[in-house]
Amino acid sequence: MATVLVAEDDADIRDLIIFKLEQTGHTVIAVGDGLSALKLAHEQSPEIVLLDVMMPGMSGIDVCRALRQDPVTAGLPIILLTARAQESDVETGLTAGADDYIVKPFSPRVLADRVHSVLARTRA
Amino acid sequence: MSATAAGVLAGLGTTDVPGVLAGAAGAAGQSVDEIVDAIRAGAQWTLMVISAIILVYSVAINTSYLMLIFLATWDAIDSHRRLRFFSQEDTYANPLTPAISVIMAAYNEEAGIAESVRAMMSMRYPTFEVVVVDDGSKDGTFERLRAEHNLVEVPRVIPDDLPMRGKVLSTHVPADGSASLLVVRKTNSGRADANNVGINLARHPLVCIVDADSLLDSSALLQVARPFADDPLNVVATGGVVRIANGCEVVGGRVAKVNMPRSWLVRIQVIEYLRAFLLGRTGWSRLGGLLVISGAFGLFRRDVLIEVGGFDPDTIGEDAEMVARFHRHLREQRRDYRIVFVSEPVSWTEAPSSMAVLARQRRRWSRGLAELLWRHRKMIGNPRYGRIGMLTLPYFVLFELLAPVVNLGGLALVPIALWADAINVEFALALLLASYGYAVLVGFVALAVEEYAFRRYNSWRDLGVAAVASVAENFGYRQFNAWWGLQGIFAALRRTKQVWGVMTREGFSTPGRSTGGNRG
Amino acid sequence: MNSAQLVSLSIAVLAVAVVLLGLVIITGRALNRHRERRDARLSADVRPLLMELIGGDNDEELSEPLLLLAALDERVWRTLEPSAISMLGKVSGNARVALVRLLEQRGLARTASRDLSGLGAVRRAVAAHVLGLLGHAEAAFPLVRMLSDRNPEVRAAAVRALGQVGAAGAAGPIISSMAGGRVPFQLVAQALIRLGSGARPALVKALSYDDPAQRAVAVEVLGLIGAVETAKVLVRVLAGDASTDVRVRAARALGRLGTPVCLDALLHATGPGHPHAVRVEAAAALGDLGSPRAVPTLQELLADPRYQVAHNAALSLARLGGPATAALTETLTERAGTSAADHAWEALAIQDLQAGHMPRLPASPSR
Repeated sequence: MATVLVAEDDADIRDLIIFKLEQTGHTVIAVGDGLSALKLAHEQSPEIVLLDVMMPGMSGIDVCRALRQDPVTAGLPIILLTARAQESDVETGLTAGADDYIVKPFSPRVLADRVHSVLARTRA
Repeated sequence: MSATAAGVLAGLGTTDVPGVLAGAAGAAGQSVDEIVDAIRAGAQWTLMVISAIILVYSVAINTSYLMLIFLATWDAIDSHRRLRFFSQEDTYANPLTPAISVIMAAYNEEAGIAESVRAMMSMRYPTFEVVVVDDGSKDGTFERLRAEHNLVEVPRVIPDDLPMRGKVLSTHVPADGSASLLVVRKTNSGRADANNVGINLARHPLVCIVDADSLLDSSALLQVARPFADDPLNVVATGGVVRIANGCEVVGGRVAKVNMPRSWLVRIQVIEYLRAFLLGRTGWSRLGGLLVISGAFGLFRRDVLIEVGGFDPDTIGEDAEMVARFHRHLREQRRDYRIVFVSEPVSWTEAPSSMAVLARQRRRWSRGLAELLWRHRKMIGNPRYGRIGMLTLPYFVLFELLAPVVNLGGLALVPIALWADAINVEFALALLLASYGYAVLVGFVALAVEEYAFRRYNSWRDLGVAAVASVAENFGYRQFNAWWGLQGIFAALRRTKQVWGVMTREGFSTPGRSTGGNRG
Repeated sequence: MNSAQLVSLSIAVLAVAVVLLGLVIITGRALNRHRERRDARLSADVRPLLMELIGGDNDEELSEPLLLLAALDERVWRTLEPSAISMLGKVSGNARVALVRLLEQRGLARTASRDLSGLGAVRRAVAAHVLGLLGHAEAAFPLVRMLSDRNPEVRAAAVRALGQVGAAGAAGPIISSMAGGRVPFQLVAQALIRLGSGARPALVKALSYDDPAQRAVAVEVLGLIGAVETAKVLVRVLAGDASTDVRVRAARALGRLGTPVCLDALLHATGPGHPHAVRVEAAAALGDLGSPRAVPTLQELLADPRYQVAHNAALSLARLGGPATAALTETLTERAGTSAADHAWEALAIQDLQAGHMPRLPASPSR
């Protein structure tokens, strides 16, 4: 199991994600904004990052971009939480270097599965 | 208000009017002493009238501020409540949300351009394109962009919906064929003209004008586009709150963490911006008489931009001047329209942190305002132009343009008044204190609204700093501001003559005004 | 009272006002923080239950967390309710089912239905919003009534909610609700799209309404939901509607539908007899439609004196691929030095980029 860094400004969704991922045996570091996510990605060296796209200040896409530009974190698997299947969001997200995306409204189960499969894919 | 004025008149008037007249009449055959006395008495009377005017003025201006703030409060509460049953996601997920062309004019922005454009392109909005207009930069602005986005030249045909002064040299897009970025190189002709070139090349129905060095929130476009979605038939332009980025943590072209700046000069400006945006924009927007949309971030309907002829390259405050032209044009055509201000913060700008730069900025603002009012003087007080003509413009003349004159005039009168023995020192100080007290009160009301509606400065310390700054503003800062404002007005007066001279002799000349460093 | 006293008095009043305001700000902030802390404390014990209900693997209808949460003391529940409602719109699948079950138990639908006739506009709008989130089919009836609410925010919330509830029968009332600009165009369109195929009869009927905005929304939505069987009707709209705006939208819709009937109508609509805006849109729609049969017409349009027509024709040609390339190259040689050639250069450059090589540039003086 892995250490997952979660950045989500909505406290309810953040708690739900923490609950679900801890239930499936991961260690979760959760933050409420993009800047903290960027800092913790360096300090705590998580194995995978889960970013909400819609955050005030730095959005998930901004954080994704910054992580990819930095050689230390460039290889980190990143999953984006985007709102609805808006093509442009997915497109910008994938251009910014995300490995996968989950569309809101999401099923907690699918989220856990997605984290699992991205981890499996990148570890392989 | 009138009671206070009457009281002051009584207090200042150590002599009454008939007394003065009698003194003047009897002066002819009397001794020199008596003549001096008579002059003094006359001066006393004149001063009395002037100070009454100044007093009424200062009460009126602060009261108008209060009223605008209350209007803005209403607006803030409304938009706050709305959050409970409306989310930006609705605008985002809607397939009919209108597409936007973002225009960024850049002049010698080598240092920050790559990051700004990246940040711009990762904004959250369903469909938009970024048009960067390199206004003849002499540094590596274009090279940076070329390297970052792997630009290649394409032969774009350029429409001439708006007249252009600069010559377009070449157009470039990313080599991977994604059409959302266009970089235009042209000869230098100033920010206004560069924006016009960008508008010509814009493909989408809405055009967003952005400073190349302003920092935008990732949801900025969604925020300012919302009024267009709510009222697509009438809304022609929108703007959003601009805030001060000094001291904030900036990562990847976004303000990642809001901090109170360290210097007091900037802190005072933070308070000034808070108040100005609450009353000067949100309040006026509520009244339907919004005049200023900051050039640092505004969204316009492209077809209306074309109708009014775009930005005027010969004006200093081209942003405000264009909004004035929007009003003028649409009123003259008797069309229903709305220009809306969104009270959510969207864009961040670096405020001057030195007196010299601040002075330059304020002179420019005041000069821009003076020129705008002169050019559109026909609208002032003209019922044909509705609220903008009957309310906003007269207000701007009286309380924005003339404020420095009255402020400094009041100060200059004090020594004369003391010589004439018209007032005693204590009384003068008390009066001054009262007028500053009212200004501080207005500042606190703005702060209270800010606290209830937005809660942007979270720590107790920031709140304390904000409170101190709104008091400190009145001692020194306000007076300097008035002085710079006055200089701006004089500059406008001189320029008006110059331009006329040039026009009569040789027609329009094109000064190659630079776009760097200026903001309005 | 003399003036000196008056001035001192006003200074005193101002000072008191400033201090009072300062206190208001400080106590307001302190109270707010206190409330937040209290709510956090109250909900701290039960919040994990909510997460377990939503995120857990328990698919039973009566899971333990559900029973516990349903029986919660009203005071504690109130601190939890906003979270539960806000999550309703953010989770899907089993998680949503469990959450809806809980909210039913707590009587949320009942309260919201009652609030629909409340006095405050915010209350009514929030109620409509909640009913939309719950997705109750029965809520459609009261929501349709809300379409004629006196407050615009409430009307907007009702339109959105009806779209979420998915009651196809509401399509007619939704379209009528926008009469006189009482509900924003875009919201109506979005709700109608959500209603799906059941809304089609109402949309077709709306094509003959008197209000151009209602016809426009119907046309736009028919195109967006891909109602190909309505292509023939839309062709008639494109040819003869009284409003240019409606015709422009019809052109766009036909481009999206893309049947052969659409192609002929669009080719015709680029002709000189049509309003400029319609021609501009038709030229763009032909690119959307993607048929090589449009190439000769588009090639002619490159020489159109109006920039927008020629420009959109060029963009459409660029999208049509191989068959268009020949036509573009032909224009380069046959009309060298004209604006048609300039537009052709631009289209070819786009094609080059898409093919992954450097765009060709005209010899410089021709530009």
